[in-house]
Amino acid sequence: MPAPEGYRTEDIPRDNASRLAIYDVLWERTSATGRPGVTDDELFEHVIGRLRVLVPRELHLVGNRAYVEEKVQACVDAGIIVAAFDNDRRFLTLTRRSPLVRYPDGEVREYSPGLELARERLDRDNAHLRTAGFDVRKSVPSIADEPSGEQFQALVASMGEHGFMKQFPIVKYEDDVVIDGRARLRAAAILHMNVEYLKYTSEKDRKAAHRRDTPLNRVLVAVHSNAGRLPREVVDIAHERVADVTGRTWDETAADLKLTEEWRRSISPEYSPRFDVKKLAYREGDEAKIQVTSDAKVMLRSLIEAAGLSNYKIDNLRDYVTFERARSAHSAGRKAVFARAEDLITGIATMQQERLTAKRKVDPEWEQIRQWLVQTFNSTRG
Amino acid sequence: MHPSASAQTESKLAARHVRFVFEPNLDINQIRDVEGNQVRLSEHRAPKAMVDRYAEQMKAGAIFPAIVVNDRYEIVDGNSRWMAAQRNKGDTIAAYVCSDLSALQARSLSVELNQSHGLSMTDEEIRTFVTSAVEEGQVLDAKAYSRMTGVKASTLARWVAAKHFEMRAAREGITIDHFKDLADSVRAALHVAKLRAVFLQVTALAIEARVPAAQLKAIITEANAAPSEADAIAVVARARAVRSDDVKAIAAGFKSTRRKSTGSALYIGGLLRFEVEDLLDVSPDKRVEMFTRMSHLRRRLDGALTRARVEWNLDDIAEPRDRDLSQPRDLTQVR
Repeated sequence: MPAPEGYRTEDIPRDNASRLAIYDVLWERTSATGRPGVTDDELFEHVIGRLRVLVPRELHLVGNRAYVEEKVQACVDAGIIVAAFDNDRRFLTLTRRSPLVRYPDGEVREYSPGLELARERLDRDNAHLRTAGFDVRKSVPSIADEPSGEQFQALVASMGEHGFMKQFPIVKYEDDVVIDGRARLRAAAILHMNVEYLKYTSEKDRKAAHRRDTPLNRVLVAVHSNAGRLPREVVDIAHERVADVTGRTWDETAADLKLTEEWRRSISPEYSPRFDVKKLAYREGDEAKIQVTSDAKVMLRSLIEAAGLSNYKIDNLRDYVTFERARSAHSAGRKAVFARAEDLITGIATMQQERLTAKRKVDPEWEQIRQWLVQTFNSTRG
Repeated sequence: MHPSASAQTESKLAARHVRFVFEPNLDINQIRDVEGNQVRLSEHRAPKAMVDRYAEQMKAGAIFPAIVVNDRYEIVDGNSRWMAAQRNKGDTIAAYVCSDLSALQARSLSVELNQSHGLSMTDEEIRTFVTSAVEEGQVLDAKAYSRMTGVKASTLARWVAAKHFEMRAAREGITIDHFKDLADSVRAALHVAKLRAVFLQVTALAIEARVPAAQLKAIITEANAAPSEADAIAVVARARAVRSDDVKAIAAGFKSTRRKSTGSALYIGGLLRFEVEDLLDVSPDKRVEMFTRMSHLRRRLDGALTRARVEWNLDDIAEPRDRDLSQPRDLTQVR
């Protein structure tokens, strides 16, 4: 849930991890015992183990008790906890206000109780599954496992009639594994038919898919995408095999997956550095178009085009110069490619040399660009 | 490859399946310092002298490896580099931006990266982190953590087992005051006891008789293999009976007397490693002396064996064969 009005959302406190740990303990203790409040001692006893992992240095410097008291007070001040007294004993109770947490997409939302712990448990599950080399395909059968079976033969016949339906491309993971689409892949091979794999329309989409690719996610994909045909017992067996590896029940894992659903769907925005640039002219009398930063980075497209080359020629430098992508006040749309002038001078020279050796065409403009860089940046390496 | 990119950092991130993006120009003002971003316990985690040196090197054009931040740009590794860049009023710094790091992952990543550069953590700091993680319910992969921290896997395993013992003892109401004198190896050995009753009794024995870890392991192995709880407890009771003198001495405030055989056993074990041929491989000028000493040794051993058979009631024990003698138990286990 997004943060409610009245919150200052831009600044998550620097001790937020400790506040969340305290909040989780209070939530868990009050839910477990049914009592409305928890004493300071009880809270300390249940939270100190986690704090030793999260903030060992702070505990060491401030002292365990003092640190916890300080953070409890911070939670009270933030309106997350309220302290009440009963027979001179202080009880801590949660209010209706939740602490805040910044999701990967940058949005600040209310914290769901147990979210951090659930994420850590899922990390552990995924680590166990990776270590064990868990392959969900061994637990969730494909109709292609039985090539002479009725279902697979019907698929082959359908694909023979209609071809490969490109509107349903197959997802191939980075390790070339296909979870959903194994039968179509096999049928296409039998029919000598080209297969359409999912192509990501942007780098952001590719990264998002990559981020979501965990062993548990593959289990979900395998089960959900075959939900219509898989009998309950097959799904249960797949879940039991996961549980055997993770050392906890599938229900526990499923509960954590549910709790973290929004978090896992939230994707970090792409970072876009912004460079302050001034514009230089390529030749005397030309309009100043070449964007240059104060630390001698040059926007490549502006330089190459000013020299009279097509901007795709930037690719000639890809193996010789390190590119940095950023926006400037003059660039719109995709991030522009910048490179250090010093790298460009040496990189262009190497590129020219290698192309000549390989008897490939070298545009004369490259040498002019190199000379311009040497003169402009007063380099001694020209 | 960008000069600030670090193959070492990238391989460590990849080994942990951490998704990351290399960003050569991360805005320094967006980076946030949060509590717990490092596991170093020292007050000055980025010592001034080091920050000064880095700042000077940066000014002179030195390229430093990228720092590591999470996707909220909270620093995970590279405090000194970050502070040096701030000191130089830099606008940007190269960084690995890791997505979806949990707080725990960030902490353990800090430990690993900290060990590979900068001021390495002390053993005490590593132990604090590792045992806290265990206390928190994390399952520790000793080999992986050994690779991360440079501490031997066996040492890490001992720390973890000792921590498990402490947690189990606390659950059983045994306070730290009772077992504070027990060595880590003893605590680790005690943790292996399966049955609750055995754990309680063997822990009491370890505390009261200061039983070394090697002996405890043997007692606990036997108790764990016993067919019933009663038999297992009987194993511990027998071990206690054998050490009754030690228990009394320690209870009275004395150290248990060190038996002289503790020293001689090592030499006898050492001698058993030599075959007859080995013992005869003596230079001519030493042979008379060696013969005399071996004769003295034989007389003493004969005397000891004769008395042992009578005083220790070992009439039923057959004379061991020579082959057995040359393979003492400890060496057999080592090989």
